[in-house]
Amino acid sequence: MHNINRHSWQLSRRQLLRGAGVSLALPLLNCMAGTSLSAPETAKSKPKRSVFLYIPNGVNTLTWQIEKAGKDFEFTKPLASLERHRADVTPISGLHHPQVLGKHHNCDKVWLTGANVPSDGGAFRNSVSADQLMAEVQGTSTRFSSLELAIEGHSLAWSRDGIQIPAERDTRTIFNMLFGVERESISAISRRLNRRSSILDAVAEDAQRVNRKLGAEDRTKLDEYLTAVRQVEVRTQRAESWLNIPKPKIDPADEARLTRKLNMTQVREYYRLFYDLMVLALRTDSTRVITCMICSESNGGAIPDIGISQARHGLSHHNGDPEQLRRLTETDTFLVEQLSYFLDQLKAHSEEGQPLLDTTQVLWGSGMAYGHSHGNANLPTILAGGKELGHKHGQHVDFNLPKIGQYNVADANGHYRVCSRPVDSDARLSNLLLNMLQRVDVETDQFQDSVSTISAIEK
Amino acid sequence: MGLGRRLRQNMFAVATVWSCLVPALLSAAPNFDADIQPYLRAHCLRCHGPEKQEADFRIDKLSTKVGEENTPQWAEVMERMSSGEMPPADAKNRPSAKESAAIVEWLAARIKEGEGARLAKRSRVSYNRLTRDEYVNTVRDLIGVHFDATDPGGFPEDAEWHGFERIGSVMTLSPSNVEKYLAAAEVVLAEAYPVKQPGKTQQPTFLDVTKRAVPENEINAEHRERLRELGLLDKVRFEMWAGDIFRGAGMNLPEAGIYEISFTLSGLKAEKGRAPRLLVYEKQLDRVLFEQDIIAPEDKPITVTFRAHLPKGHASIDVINNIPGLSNNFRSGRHGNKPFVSTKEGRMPWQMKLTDEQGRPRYSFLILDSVSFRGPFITAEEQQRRAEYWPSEEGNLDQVRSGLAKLARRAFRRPVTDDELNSYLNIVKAELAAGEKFPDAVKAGMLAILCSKSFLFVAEGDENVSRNTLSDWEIACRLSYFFWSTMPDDELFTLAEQGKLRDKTELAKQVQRMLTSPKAERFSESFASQWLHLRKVGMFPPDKNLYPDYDKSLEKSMVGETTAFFREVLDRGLTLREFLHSDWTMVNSRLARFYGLPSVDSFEFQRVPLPAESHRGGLLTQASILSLTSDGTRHRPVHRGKWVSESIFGKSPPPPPANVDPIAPNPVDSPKATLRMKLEAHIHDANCASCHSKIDPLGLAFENYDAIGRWRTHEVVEGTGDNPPVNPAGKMADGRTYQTPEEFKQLLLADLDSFNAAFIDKLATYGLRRSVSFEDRDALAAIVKASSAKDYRLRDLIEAFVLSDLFQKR
Repeated sequence: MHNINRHSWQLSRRQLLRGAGVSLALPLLNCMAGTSLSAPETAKSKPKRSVFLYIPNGVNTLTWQIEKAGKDFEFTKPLASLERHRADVTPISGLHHPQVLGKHHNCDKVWLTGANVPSDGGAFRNSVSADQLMAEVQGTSTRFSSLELAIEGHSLAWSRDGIQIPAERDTRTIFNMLFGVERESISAISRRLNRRSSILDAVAEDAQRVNRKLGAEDRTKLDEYLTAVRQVEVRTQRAESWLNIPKPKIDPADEARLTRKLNMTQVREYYRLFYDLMVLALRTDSTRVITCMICSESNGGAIPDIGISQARHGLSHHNGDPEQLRRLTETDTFLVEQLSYFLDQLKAHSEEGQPLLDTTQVLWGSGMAYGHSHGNANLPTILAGGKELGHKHGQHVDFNLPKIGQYNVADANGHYRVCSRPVDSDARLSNLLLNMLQRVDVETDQFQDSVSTISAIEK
Repeated sequence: MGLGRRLRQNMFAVATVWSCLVPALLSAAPNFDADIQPYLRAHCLRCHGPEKQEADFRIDKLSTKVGEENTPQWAEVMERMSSGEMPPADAKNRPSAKESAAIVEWLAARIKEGEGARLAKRSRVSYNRLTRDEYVNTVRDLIGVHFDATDPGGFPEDAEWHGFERIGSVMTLSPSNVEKYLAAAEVVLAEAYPVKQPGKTQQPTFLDVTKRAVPENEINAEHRERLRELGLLDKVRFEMWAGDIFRGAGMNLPEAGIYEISFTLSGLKAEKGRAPRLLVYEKQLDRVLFEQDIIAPEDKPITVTFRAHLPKGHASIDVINNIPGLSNNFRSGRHGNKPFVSTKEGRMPWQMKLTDEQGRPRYSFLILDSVSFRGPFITAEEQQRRAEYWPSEEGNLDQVRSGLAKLARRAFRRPVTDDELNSYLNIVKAELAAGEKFPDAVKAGMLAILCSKSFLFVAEGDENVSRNTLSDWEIACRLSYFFWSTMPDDELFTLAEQGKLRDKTELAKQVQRMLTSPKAERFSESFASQWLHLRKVGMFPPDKNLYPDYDKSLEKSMVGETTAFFREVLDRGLTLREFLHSDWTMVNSRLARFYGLPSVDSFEFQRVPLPAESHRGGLLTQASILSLTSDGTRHRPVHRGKWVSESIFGKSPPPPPANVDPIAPNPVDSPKATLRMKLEAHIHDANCASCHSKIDPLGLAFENYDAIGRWRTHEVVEGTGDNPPVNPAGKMADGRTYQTPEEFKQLLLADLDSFNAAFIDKLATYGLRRSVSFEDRDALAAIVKASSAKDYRLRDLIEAFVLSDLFQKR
């Protein structure tokens, strides 16, 4: 500490860290919006968890549609596996994102943001996704504030600046990140993190020097850089503060199972590996917010296990061919069965005598309904779990029926219209996201273009 | 405020001058009062004006600066009109769909211009983040190390705007980008300056190893003795049928770097089958290192060689006979105990026969002899770059300072201030003071340079004063990133230092020099890909059942044709006409087969003449363009039309309204109908037709090409009866008609001036890293004129752009 006074004008962050120890909160870090330094030592809040799962290209809406609203509904064939979870799920019909209607396959980018997306390749800036708002609140006391995964395709998560947060697709990398033992020694990692911090400090200061001279309007790109650099500083700090806290120990049998090298020739096993990793991440409270794209709008979704080699995109452009429609229903069924498996696992593990599912809200769905004509109203949507957080389940919530009286899927074109143009323009997916935000303590009464919460699912 | 008003007055003045001098542009100059006010008064304001405000919406209060102000409201107006919702069906004197469509188009054009103007807006300093490709090239030239940015876990794809990936205002930067930059720089520096093992030699080890596919010690003892006696022990080969994997090609690499890998092998093709294909795959990196069809007689093996950048340590390499569509099945999929020497030897009784009675291959297979690794290769220049930044004496801070100074100057592509330099030197000092080893401390200083804004962004402008012209250093950068996608070389730096880059004679000399460099290939690749949206090829992978021929190798060949074609036009001094139609194209062996052209024996692209019956020529009938405007399953005439409108004429049609009725599927028990027939039945609404009558004719000319660009006369569809013949005829919005794709191309050639102007807009967008706007109009018009004066020759056109005032402006 003795050299601080003498060279205070030249005080590097490195010296400061050396002198005062890593627990010191640096002034630079205090002003960072939307991020909070983790303090693993502080008392942990009771976990409130959220998982978001995306399937692309909509579904075969003709076989998907549940026809009766309320408690007394029957699951349709593709949804049949959810019967065992009846008390823990709510299928919802009629939701949509108003700003994405008719905008082709861009719907996966805005599923959790509801932002306006250009249909013609023009400049696109997304807005923050709901999961990231949740991570800001629920992610402060876990090792990872959120986890972005994709089985195929890209991430569903977008930062406050509307920038996509990359998703991890490799199961071994995910396992190692969560539970793996570092190859370097703690002191080597600590040295590397320290070095990073001083480098980040220097480049931030360099950018700041120029930024001060520019007017607010001129600073956008440089501000973006500065914000990014500072957030990496926070992450570096966070990594450092977790350095001495060992990662959760995983049973060797589990480890062997979860680090198997699998590929897409066994889709069921491959999907379950992802679901198992998610369950383990939640069980160990490594994170409380997970997004996972199951496959993307443009690619993926072939399921050789059940004899379907076409990608979902191709199947969704079925042109009314009964064989294609049958296969589409088969893949819908398969995807829902994997969701049911995930819910099984969340039920099977308990925390303080309570199933994990009760403190975990799960949203499963697509940004498209009728893929053949890119219809994205009446989005296939299933909310599950989170009873303890305040969700009410066991009913089919339907926003179409009050206006159309009844469904008639025998008139395919008529039903495709319901899936292409919103029946109730106030039935917005953002309303549901608002419910979910509030359930995990994000204090807000608005998300994107929400008009209200959905009261039918509130306890 | 005052400045803003003056600026607007100036712009108005410019517009007025134009109206006197350039009558052609007058008709293009939008005028709210003349163009749309009469329509609004007649059809909108009665319900959305001073007297009545239906739905609380007033149009007369909206700003008349459409595209600049009240954009969401005007977009709403456009949307409601384009969907046919407004004016309402029961309105008195409802205007015709055509009249409304003209207003929709006008609004769409203004909104697009407004977006362009916002993107083109220059702040005092413009920061253009290096694209992924630019980063890789720049690091390579800066420090002589290749970085694998496209590996899984590498850098994400860059954001694009209408295909362009280098528009500064569109490119974003997130914390994970910064983390990736840090990690990348650590990897690069570790390779440039490997940690020296104490007691080991200073010289890096050079690996030069050849190993047989089946080495002696892997042959079982009994056969080993037999073969030794026959003198065949070193003749044992490894036979590979479809899908077979050879796992013995791995190698321990002493350092990270560029390695040359060779395979010696034969490839036998079954008469009716596809050629065997060698695929070399690095498992840990999840990267395909090499892929090529191999045809070579059993007794005349060939050697194929390629280079790959690989990390230090064990390379886990799978070698696969990757014939598309075939799999490694039951009996064929097992090697016997008996080593393979020749097909004449025969196989074990339980194994599939590889050849028939006459010794002809029954299946396509590979026979592997050996694999070699040589490397790492470091050129003298790369070695020199690495060395000149590194202190030769341990602990010598003066040397550290001068090394960092050299690195920063080249990395920042401009002179560096003492303050800047000190901050990097201070990092080294602080690291040393914290007890770090000297090499690690030096690397920390370098790391900061490689992660600083001045390296990651190509900056133009000055934070202290406003200026609109580029400095010499900035011109050097603009030139080098334009032609080479990398940082300036020493000659450009020297010229910048001497202040010579504003001199047009010198610039013309540089254009010639830079285009002659092999690095100029990057311009053809990068600009052609961005202009034509080639990134979209394969975005929706074609359905495997419908298009079994399609694979990654074909996909790469498709894109390769288009970029090679662009390069040929540039290198051979050809004109823009070739892009619209040509009697030649560039193919490799794969594509020649795909097009049904006379066979070509190499994977390298070469120029071939096109017979008339090939139905090819120009860009528009290349498989890449026809694929990227399809969706993997079906061709999409409307998308093709939109693509032609945007890429050839630079006009974006208004977006489709959101409430379009879904296209009804064609039930399988109804008579077969082409997509065109269904589209025409679908577009019965006059509101839709008014817009589609302009877009669709530009796409319907390509009905003869399916979703992967194959020629056809009938469309294969579901339904009953015969497959219907396609109809490639159409009528352009101006009344001209065509019967075939060839006639359509002739119509485009007649519009060469429009294409010329659109092309120059695209070139400028790419070169200036921003969208072009109203203020650029006269500068662009001058380049358009220069181009037509030189008969639209691509090379001259590019030179005219680089020599224009626009190129030297921000």
